[in-house]
Amino acid sequence: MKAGFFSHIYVEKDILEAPKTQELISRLPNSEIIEINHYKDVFCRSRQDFAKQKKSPALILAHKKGELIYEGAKVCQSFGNAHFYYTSCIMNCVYNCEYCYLSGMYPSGNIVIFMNLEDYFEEISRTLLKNPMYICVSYDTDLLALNHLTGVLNRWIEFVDTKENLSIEIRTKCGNISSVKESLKCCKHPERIIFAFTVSPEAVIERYEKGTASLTARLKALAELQELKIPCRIAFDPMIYLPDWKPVYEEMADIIFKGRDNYPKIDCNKIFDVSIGSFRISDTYLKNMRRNLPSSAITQFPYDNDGGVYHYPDEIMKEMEAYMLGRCRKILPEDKIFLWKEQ
Amino acid sequence: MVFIATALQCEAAPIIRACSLKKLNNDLSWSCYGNDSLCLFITGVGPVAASAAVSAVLSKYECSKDDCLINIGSCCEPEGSGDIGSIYLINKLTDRTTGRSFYPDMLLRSGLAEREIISSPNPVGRTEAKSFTGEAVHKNPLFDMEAAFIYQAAKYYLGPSQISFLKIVSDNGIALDDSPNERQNLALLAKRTEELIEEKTEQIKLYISSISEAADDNKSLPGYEKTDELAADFKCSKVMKDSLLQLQKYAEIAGVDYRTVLAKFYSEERLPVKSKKDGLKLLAELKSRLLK
Ligand code: SF4
Repeated sequence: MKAGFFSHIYVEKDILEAPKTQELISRLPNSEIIEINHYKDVFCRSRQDFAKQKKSPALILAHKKGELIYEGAKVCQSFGNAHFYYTSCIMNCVYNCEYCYLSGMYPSGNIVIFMNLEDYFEEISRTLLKNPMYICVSYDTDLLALNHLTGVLNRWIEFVDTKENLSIEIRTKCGNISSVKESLKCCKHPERIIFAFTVSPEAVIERYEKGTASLTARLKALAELQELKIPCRIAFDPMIYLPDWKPVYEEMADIIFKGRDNYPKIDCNKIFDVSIGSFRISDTYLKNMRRNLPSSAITQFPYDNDGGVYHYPDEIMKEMEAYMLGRCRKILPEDKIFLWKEQ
Repeated sequence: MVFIATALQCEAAPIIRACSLKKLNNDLSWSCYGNDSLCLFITGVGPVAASAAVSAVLSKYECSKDDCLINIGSCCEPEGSGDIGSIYLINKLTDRTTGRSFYPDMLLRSGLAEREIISSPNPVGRTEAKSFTGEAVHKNPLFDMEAAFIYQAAKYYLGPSQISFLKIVSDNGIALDDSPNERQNLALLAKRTEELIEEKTEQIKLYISSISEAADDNKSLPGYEKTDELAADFKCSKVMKDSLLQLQKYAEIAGVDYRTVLAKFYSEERLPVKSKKDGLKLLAELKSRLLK
């Protein structure tokens, strides 16, 4: 029988006794605690089985040193923000999407939480003296999905309220906002906290986004946030190819844009913006993903390689993106639609 | 294959009996016993013997990602909390000589209690062991002479989810500290160890079978044996052959019927192609037909 989620917590010995560490550990009373010197002693071991670890992930609690905030890479969608940054106070995700680049990027399927969030805030405060910042805080993880355990998002939300030139984006596939609802209600600047919901058709969610919320749950969360005046982005990115992708994506677009019985109705006039992009991945990551998930239709798809980036064959890629672009254009002005292209 | 490493004959004997293992004839310098799915080998005592045996056996049997290694053996519990005979799954191993620690993945719910262990090249007496416990470890550790060294040798062949350690407490470090007659004491300890492991064979067998089941999840994909023939009919270059294999793999996994399309190409005498250029064109057509 497989061990459960977080059956083991590896803790760097320097932070073991810290109150925040002890508080988090106390929320997982059945976990075995193992003291370590450095998170890399566990996270960076050679020959780890990413796929197996994803099914029973361990938690690693660590203190992050060095650079904490990064300038956006060229494969990131910057949404017109001149000062675009990202940060990873958690590495890896509780969800298990088959197309997730993390399985190509990280050597381990275990989840690392960096406990020194105050150091991140200090670094941001210093940069804010020079320029405004737009930071994707839920980049190599899904912060909302883990928030009931970590409370990290509540701290981000409180921090944003103290800084004038700071906006954050929280990308998620989670459908439960209860752990942040109170913080959001108290927030004086909800306009600077952008939730980005990645949406996919139910067929894609069922097949390839294991553990994530259903489309219904994501839309329900989105509608609730709209009521709280929180800007919500919809990411049709990555669009995933299925042999019958068109009717499947058509149905999803109808549900989102036109509404349907039994589905939560979102207010299309309040959509902050949308992003569109079909699945693409760097060649190095795909190589690792093919090794980790050898029998996945996503990893074994016969992609085309363009300058080190694998993508669907042009015909499919263009047709999928054009379809979604067309649907979005019927509802939203051009300046609210971001089609992914390498910058 | 599940490989089992024990340091001593007295640790191996109960497992050989419980799993009905037969002596294997191979050219290795270590005694090996096995059946279709298990291979037990006796390493000898200490870091050099253990590392050499693990390397030799895992190379000889060309271990792969479908295999795993379990080190089963006795250990000492210097705190002496009346724990003799208890069995533990080890979650942290520290090499006493370097102070480095290693962490096997704990991906199975075994129901066994867990402990950490310190491995030392020399036998550890009770007094000496007690003086270690304030160092790199925060929990009352166990002591042995092989585990951390076995891990270090095995990690050249296997990943952390493929290596595990079951340890049975055989003593509190009494033999070497307290007795004037060390040889006699060791013989007694060996006998006692065999009895203690014998008592735990059901738990050990259960653990081995859960490890085997988990390893089965991992079985590699079958090869695509017709690719060579097909590649020749398409007059494939190396790059084209890779594309063809990728397409074939995807179609198999996604349940896309590529065989009918190929059969049609053959029946229309478009396959085998006459030139590499025709092959390229036909491969592109195959791809676009399969990915409509
Ligand atoms: S939700 Fe995002 S980060 Fe999490 S597994 Fe899926 S793709 Fe990866």
